[in-house]
Amino acid sequence: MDENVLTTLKLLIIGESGVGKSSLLLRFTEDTFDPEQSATIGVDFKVKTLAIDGNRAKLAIWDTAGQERFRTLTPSYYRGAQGVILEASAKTKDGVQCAFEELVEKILQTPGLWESEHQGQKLRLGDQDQGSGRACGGYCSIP
Amino acid sequence: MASFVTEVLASSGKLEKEDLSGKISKMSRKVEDTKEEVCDMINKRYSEFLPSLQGSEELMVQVDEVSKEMDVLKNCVENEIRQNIHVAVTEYATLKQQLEKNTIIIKMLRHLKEFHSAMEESNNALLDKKYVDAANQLERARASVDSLKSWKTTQLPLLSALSSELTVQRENLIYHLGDEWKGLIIWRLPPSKALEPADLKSFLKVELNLRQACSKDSEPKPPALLCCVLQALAIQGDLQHKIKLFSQVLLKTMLKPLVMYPSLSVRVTEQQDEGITLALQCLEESDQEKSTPSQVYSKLLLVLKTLHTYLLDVSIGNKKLSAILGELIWEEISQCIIHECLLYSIPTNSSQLEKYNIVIKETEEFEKSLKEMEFLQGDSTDLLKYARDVNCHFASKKCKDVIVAARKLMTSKMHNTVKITPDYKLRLPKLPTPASEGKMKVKQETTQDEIIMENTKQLSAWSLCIPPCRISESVQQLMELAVNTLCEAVGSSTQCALQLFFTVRNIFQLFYDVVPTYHKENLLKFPHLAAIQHNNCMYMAHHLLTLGHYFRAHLPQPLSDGVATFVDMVPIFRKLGAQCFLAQMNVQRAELLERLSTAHNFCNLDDEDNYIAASKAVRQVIHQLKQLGTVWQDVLPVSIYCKAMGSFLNTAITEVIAKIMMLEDISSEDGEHLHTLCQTIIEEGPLVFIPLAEEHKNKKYQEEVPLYVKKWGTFKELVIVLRANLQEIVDRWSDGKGPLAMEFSSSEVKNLIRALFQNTERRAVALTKIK
Repeated sequence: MDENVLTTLKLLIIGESGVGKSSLLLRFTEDTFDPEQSATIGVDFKVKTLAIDGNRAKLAIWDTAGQERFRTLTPSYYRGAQGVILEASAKTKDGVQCAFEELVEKILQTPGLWESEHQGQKLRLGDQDQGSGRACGGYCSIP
Repeated sequence: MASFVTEVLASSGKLEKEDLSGKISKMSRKVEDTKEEVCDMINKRYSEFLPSLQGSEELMVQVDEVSKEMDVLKNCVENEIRQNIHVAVTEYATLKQQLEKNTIIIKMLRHLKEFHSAMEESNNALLDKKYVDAANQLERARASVDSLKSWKTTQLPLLSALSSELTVQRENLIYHLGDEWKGLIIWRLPPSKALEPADLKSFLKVELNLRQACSKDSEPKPPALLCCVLQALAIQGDLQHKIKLFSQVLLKTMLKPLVMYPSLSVRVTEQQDEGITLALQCLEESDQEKSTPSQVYSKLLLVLKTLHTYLLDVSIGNKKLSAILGELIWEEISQCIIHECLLYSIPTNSSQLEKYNIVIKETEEFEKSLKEMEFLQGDSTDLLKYARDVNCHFASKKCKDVIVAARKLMTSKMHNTVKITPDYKLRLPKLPTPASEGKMKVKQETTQDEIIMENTKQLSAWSLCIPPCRISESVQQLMELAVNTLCEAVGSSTQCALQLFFTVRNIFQLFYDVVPTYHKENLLKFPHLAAIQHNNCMYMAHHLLTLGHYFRAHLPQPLSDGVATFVDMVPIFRKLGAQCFLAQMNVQRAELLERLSTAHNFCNLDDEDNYIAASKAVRQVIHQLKQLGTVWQDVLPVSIYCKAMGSFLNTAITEVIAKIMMLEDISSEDGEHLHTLCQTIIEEGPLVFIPLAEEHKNKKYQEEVPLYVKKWGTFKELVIVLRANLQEIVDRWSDGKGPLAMEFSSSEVKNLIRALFQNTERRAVALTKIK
């Protein structure tokens, strides 16, 4: 059971509703696609172990609800996140920009997000430039 | 030299010798003189002084004796005279008494004589029907008896005889006077039993006949005989009594019925031998319930004028008889007019208020005529004051009606409801624009340039509206009543407006006091009613926010200065609504926990009975929630509905979670059963969220259950764990980064694993992963 897992990483998938967050997760973890995929309520969670260069890493992926009405729930899932998958639709004119704006907003709204995973070397919002590379590696999926 | 000295010596010896002889002769003359003087002296002393001394001493003795004799004599004389004086004084005293007695007797005799003659004369006068003389004489006789009585020594038998004689005579006179009175003033009354106030017909028999009164002469006035009788009565002090009786009958059988029954009127007829007759008659039946003030005034004036002309226009002392009667009847008749007539004539809305001036004028004229006839003396009496205060009475009447109506609404059934939609508006009247608003418009124009600064995102049109919900029809009517009353206050007189405004405030105060008390039991018993009451309070609080502001500018001072507000009541009403609903929620919560307690802490569910009990408890809880969800559907505002239902569901699952977490050993069968029960809750729990009547619109709220139920996520994790294998649990924990770690602490998860799985090596490995 997880004998040779090197580390567990907490990843978040965020983005506007209907951009395909749950489908992406489904494809990634089970390699399937559901054309009738229903809207996520609250949050969904999947685990996937990856081997890179012989090192196994376990990904704990949180698939958040994109709908506006569940926004009040999501900030609590952000705590301790080590990676964010930001998904945006290119169909709308400024979808990507919106997604980034939203991400920044989320980061600002989540207290303790920065401190928790960087014991000893506390980072503040002002240190974003140095920290962002490690803490918030963005992945842009454009369908 | 020697010669000179000898010469000197010789001459001095010669001189001394001559001198000595001279001196001796002088001396011997002096001795002679002294001898004579001494001799004279001695002579005088013994032969002249002593004898005179002796003489005077003898005289002294004599004087003493004489004075002693005189003292004796004086004592003698004094004793003698004193005795004589005593005798003389007593003699004079008796004489004086005699004299006084005689005087008294003479006086008494004079009084007696006077009494006698007065009685005699009075008797004669009575026989001649000279009543005034008779009364005067009798009064003299009475004075005599009174003065006789004032002596203590008077013999009692005589006095009592005199008194009784006087009484007899007086009664006799009064009897005669009464006879005359009865002959002059004749009442024809129905039998007293028939004189029930409700019976109109009985009053038709009432007649007042004034005999000998006729208007043949140019100037009608009371007959002379009547004057005589009245004056005699006045002298005898019996007039007040007589007039009082007369006034009572007059009031009861004539004046009051005239005020009370609009169809009654009075008819005055005059006949040669009968005199004047006042009789009540019935006009055609009118459907009027109460007579108008002018009708009443004219009817009363007719009666009083007739009485005045033929009966009361007589001076008694310095007072007119009409004044005496007026004093007796005025208070009662004015009260009667106020209660039976003026009270009903007060208008019910302000538009009729203007016309009421006519009534005030009529009242003034009525009082003026009465004053001319001397029925009345003072100025502005109760009646006129009442009519003049019409504004006050109008307001009081209105306020009373309003409060009564409000109370009726408050105690009516609450469950007749009306739907409040966002576009619902309280029907407020259009009020004229007050002058000050013009300025505000100007200001608005100047700010128009800056409108571009506004946020492009506008608030929804419904932002400040009351959310859709159901309220009692009665409360809507109550609000309309308040608005209508405030409308009435606009444009009323200051006094009136103030009273009306505060009545509206009183309505709300009354609501606060009456409704929670009156409906207390039902509010606790029926969740439906509690929700409606909650909405009612919020609805009222919502409108109270702006109600005062809407009317303020149109109300008189000091209301327009900001006193006209209901804002202070807003928190009170919100609290009232919240408290009522909270109390109901506590009742429901207690019931819910009670139902769950029958599940025996969810332990040993592999036992058939235990499983049945637990499953029954869960189903009952869901049933209760479903019922609440149905009762509150379409009643509570959606947000409140979801919060309330969410809170109940949260209570239920929190209880279930706590019970399951306490289990120390969960067999696989147990776990299966627990999972089934919890799955039931997860599937059916959201279905109790049906805030809207339209079924298809409720799905949204059922999906949002995680938003309203705080422990929903925890519960879901628990359900997953109940059926999961060790790997799945470790995955959901994910090194403290999975959802299981978010909902439970590591020790809680470890305990769960120990309860669910047997002690194996795999379990030990899994436990090490939970840190």
